[in-house]
Amino acid sequence: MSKYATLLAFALTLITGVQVAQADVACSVWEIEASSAKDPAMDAELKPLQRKLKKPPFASWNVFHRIGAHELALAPQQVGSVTLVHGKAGLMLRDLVTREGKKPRVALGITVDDAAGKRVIDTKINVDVGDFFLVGQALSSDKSQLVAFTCKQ
Amino acid sequence: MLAADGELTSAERAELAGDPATEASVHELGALVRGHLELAADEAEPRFADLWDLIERRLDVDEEPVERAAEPAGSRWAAVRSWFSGHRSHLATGLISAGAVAALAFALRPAPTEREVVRAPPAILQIDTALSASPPEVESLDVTGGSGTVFTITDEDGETAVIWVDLDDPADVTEGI
Repeated sequence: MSKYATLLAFALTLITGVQVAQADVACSVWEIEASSAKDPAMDAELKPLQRKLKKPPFASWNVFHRIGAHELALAPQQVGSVTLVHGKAGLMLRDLVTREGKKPRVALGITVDDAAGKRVIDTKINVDVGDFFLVGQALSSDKSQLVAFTCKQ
Repeated sequence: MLAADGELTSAERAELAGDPATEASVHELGALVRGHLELAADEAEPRFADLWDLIERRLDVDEEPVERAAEPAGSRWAAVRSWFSGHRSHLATGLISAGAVAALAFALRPAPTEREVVRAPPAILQIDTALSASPPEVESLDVTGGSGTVFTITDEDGETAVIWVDLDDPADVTEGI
């Protein structure tokens, strides 16, 4: 029995490794809570977004905490999803476009569900590899949720 | 012909005297030959006259070095002229040979053909090939139970697309928490 289990584990590892090797982009999904407090605070992990979070409308808050970070390796037409603290996010790599003289560009399909599993948004966007894309909504009168997406080749 | 030239022996002359018709014919033939030769000489006289003039000029030229030898000894210019005069035939031969070679080279030169000259662009024109960024695009947006606002934030990193969702009933968001 243990021999079969070893073979199965090896096969799963091989399959998983092949899938990772075939992935064209690595996408990151960050869940951020924004709120206001007397003392401003921002997690160090949010440094890539620091300048953007200090601009309106995000300047309405001064406390930003990254409450979740997920990685997805996606190949074209592949779908992935991550569980958030306040819901769920789905990501589909619709296309990876390479253009001469310009940054590679990803065509993404993005869905965000609330904590009850209800679909909040369903959108299709095109962004350069390495650029961020943000989805935000209010959780309460003094707290909001931001979901940041970015993909690297 | 011997009879016409008066070179017959006495025996031959006696034999010819016995035949007056033959003697007359021989003399007549001799007169014809002389007349023909005189006419040919008259025709050739102008050509010989030109030839003689040429020879006279050559003789005059050959005499000139002798006259110029009287120039004062020690003159460099005279020495140079003397040297050139003494080697005139060599110089003429060399010039004619050089001219012949130049003419041959000119006549046998390859036909002109068009040449394509490819010049590499100067290094200063090489452009930095940094990849340029493109702004984000939102192709479609469906918001359930509310509305969505799309805007971009521009900073030093470029443009960042943001979708802000305003739900009709925000209480639904934290319903499952």
